[in-house]
Amino acid sequence: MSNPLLELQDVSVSVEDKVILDGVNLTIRPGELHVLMGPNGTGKSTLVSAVMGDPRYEVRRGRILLEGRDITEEQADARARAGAFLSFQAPEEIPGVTLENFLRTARGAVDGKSPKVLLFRKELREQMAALDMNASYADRYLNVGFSGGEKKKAEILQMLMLHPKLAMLDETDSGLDVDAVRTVTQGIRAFRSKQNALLIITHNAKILDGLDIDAVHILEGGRIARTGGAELVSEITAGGFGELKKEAGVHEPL
Amino acid sequence: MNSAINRLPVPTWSWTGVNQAEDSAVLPELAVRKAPPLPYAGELPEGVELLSALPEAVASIPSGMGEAVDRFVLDHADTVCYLRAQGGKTVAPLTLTRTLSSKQSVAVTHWGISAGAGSALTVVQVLRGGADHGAAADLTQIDAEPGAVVRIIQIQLLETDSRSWSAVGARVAEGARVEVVRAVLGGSVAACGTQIQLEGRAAEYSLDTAYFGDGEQSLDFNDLVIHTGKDTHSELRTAGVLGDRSRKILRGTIDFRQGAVRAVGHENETVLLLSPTARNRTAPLILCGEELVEGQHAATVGRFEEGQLYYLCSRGLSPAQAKHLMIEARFAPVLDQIPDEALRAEILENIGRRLGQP
Amino acid sequence: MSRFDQEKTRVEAVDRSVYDIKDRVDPSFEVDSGLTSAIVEKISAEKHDPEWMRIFRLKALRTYNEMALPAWGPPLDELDMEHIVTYVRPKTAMQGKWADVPEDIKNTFERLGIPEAERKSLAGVGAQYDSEVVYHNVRAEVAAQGVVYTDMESALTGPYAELVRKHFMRLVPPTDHKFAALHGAVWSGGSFVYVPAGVSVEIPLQSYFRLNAPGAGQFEHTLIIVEEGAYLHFIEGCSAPKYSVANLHAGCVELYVGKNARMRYSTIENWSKNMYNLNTKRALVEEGGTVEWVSGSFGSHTSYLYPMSVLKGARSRMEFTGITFAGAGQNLDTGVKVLHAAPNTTSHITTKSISRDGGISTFRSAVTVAPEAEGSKSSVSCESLMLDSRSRSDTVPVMDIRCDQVDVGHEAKIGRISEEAIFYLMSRGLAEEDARALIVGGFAEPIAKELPLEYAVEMNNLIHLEMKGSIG
Repeated sequence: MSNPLLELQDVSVSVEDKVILDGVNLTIRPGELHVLMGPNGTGKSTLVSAVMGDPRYEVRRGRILLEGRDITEEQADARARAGAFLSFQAPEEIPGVTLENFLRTARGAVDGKSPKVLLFRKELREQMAALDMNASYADRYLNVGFSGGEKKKAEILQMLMLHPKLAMLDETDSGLDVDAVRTVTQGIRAFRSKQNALLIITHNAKILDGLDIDAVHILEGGRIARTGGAELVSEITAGGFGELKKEAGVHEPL
Repeated sequence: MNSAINRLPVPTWSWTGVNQAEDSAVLPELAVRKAPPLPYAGELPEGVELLSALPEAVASIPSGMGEAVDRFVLDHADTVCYLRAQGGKTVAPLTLTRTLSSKQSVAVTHWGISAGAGSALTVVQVLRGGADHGAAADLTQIDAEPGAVVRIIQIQLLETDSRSWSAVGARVAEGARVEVVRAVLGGSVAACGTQIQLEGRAAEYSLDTAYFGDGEQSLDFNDLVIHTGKDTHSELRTAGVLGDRSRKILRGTIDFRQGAVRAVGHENETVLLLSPTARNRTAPLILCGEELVEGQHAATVGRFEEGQLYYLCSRGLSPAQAKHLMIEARFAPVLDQIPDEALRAEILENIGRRLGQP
Repeated sequence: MSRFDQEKTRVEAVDRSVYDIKDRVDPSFEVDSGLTSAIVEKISAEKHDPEWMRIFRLKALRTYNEMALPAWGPPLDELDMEHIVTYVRPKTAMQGKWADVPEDIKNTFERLGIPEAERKSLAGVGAQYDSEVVYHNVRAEVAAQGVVYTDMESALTGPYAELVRKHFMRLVPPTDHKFAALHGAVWSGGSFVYVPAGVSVEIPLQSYFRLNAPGAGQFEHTLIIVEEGAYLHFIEGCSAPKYSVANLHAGCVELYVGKNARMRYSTIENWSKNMYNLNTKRALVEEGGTVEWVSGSFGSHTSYLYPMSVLKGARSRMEFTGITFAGAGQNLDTGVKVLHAAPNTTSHITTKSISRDGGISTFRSAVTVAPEAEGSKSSVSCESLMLDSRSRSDTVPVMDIRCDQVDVGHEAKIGRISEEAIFYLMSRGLAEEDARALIVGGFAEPIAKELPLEYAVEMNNLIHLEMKGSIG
């Protein structure tokens, strides 16, 4: 088995002194696709935000390793350069910075050298076309005035252009219509390789259509309550988390 | 004659210091000019002709800086550029660069633009160079006849040993549009003032200002738009960055006069403060004597937005790179409207140099 | 508070009559030109001032005579500054006759459902009314908690004399502006409140209770000290117009808000429409303290009113909620000033203004963030409603930011009642006038909900009154 790409070792995370994650362990290896599910408010976004290094989240205990290197104390940009990527649920709007200019700067940052302008532009146009994005979006300001769906596609576009090792997708499918979800799934498939890995947060099996899933984790009560294979996805989409709770002997409060 | 420069249209508490420009913006004392000013001698775009004298309709238009500056330019102009644009679409911009040097420490330019019905004209006014106690002053008077489109692009790249005054006044007739685009980067003192009268039905005005102050720079703006016509529309956008001990006053006034029914005026400002010793003053006025109008103003002043910085950093940009990008972003709406690629690059280079390019 | 129950029905039943207001100056007064030290000495003697106050008044008089009128704001031409003594004569406010009270005020009393006896008292004609009794009861009740609530004259010589001396016009010095100087020279009446540390005063104290107290006039001084961790809500005025023969009001309010203390100061100002209201209000807030201003300006011919908060202590806060309604003949220049002088201070300003029937309303503000106020936040939101095109509404805010670690936001909006909204309401059966009143009431709702219920009801009634006959 190859060396882990991402390792969470007994990670506890708090936001404004409220503990959200309490002792999470997770290992993702190159080439794998993991799915993270769980009821609202159980800390799925907290988990990926903590991995990305969102300053609002405090890792109180445990370690986060990327390719064996402890990144727990690193800033977001260092993590990105080390290969981490997060597709945000609500991406920031940044007026005055065009999508293309931003991507070129970011690509220069993660690669350590500025991309060749023409080659880069060609690649960008191709990826945008693949995602069914109008080419004019390259000249628009980052996420400004983008619809919900356009924002999510722009996130996937960034993933494709920045070649991260670990891509975390936080409900990238929410608010998208069927066609757009299919496009995103195509983007994920195009991205996937033996060297990289994905961690996908979703409530919906649609985005996973036709993707080989290596593991599904259910987050519950601040820790991973259960891990299984692809079959867990259909189990949950059919029966919801209540069924699982019963199984686990946990009862929902009335 | 009132000697105050950039007077707030409605005065307020004097201790706020915003009622007029600071003393540092006082005009220089110059000897009476004996030689007549030289007319513009550069290329003229198609459909534009040079006038030898300015029609009264243009000459009578007041600027936003006040009588003192208007008078100063008329008395001391060394260069005049009186233009008449006629019908049709003019594509090529007319560019005039004034450069201060030890040989010419003062440059005073008087622009008069008579834009005929349906004409279009873009004028690029560039100030650069510097001189000990250098001074550059200009007055641009614009008469936009029905359907005309006049765009004034002012780029101020002076050294910090010099000061500048840029006064603009415009009268905008039915269906006509005036656009003013300003990039203010240099000068120890940069004072600008616009007064736009939207007189005709559906007359339009847009103002885009971007500035970057650092060191001991002082910036002073007085931008006034007067809506008298029905269905008139104005957009005033100002974005800037202040570092070191720089300071800035922006007076932005939308004045809806009685009868300006269905007029719409929007004013927006963002200020990024990079230093604890920078000082930003803003006085955004909305004056209203008509019921059926829509007026809005919004301003945000402060530091970088943490969420935006994190988002950019999560894609691999260092905090310094992210900040640099967000400073450049303030200039984007202005850069987008500058037709000359070399000028755009020069502005970005200027910003990069002052930020200490990473 | 039974009269509040009657209002609604009464209000709707009344017609709006034509106002006929004329300045009435009782001819029996002699008029000296200008304000002299002899007059000020006389006021001081009549009030049995302590010596320091006599000197204070005379010094303020010199300041007054040296200062110019403000170079901004609504015109003051009709204010007879040459004969300012006309406005200053002691006791003028209390010597009117019911017959002299203008019709519009009598009518408003009637429409608001205020009983006969109380009307006379509110009009300042000196009729005895049981509010004096209410005032004494309240006083006794809060005294049990150690709270001092008394009139300024008594406070000057009572057990709190030293405290008063230490604080009187320290926050608003007579040098602040010409009318502050005038106030310093001729002030009389007003309230003194002292809330000891840790005491939370549950009932709002209302200056209204004291309207009949001796010396309640147009130069009253309010001095309130809320000590560490204490809480007080003070309500000034009431919504029935206060009529005064002398039509200059230059009061002064000074609030000292201690560490972690909270003070709410609510005002519904409805002076008669011949009044020049040049009032100065200021609060000094210590560490972790909060001052909340709730301000409604409905009356007066001309107003200059900008309550100021000095956020002196770290983490101190201020909230300002205000509404101004300018109708025919009114020029109301109102707003707010705040100085962020310490780290992590916060200010929230929400104002609404309505202009109608030729009225002029101006929102004027100054938000200053000092270099030492890192981490401070300020937000200003002002909305103006124009009800016709004979009126004016101006917004004149200033921000002065001298600190980079801050978040400052400002929003201003001006507009009219949406015709679609009126049509919608009318399609549901409302008369146009009622539809408009309803929408204007909704516009004022954020202010109303900050007021104690009975005042909110009165404010709503006032809006309805002002809106009567607003069509055409």
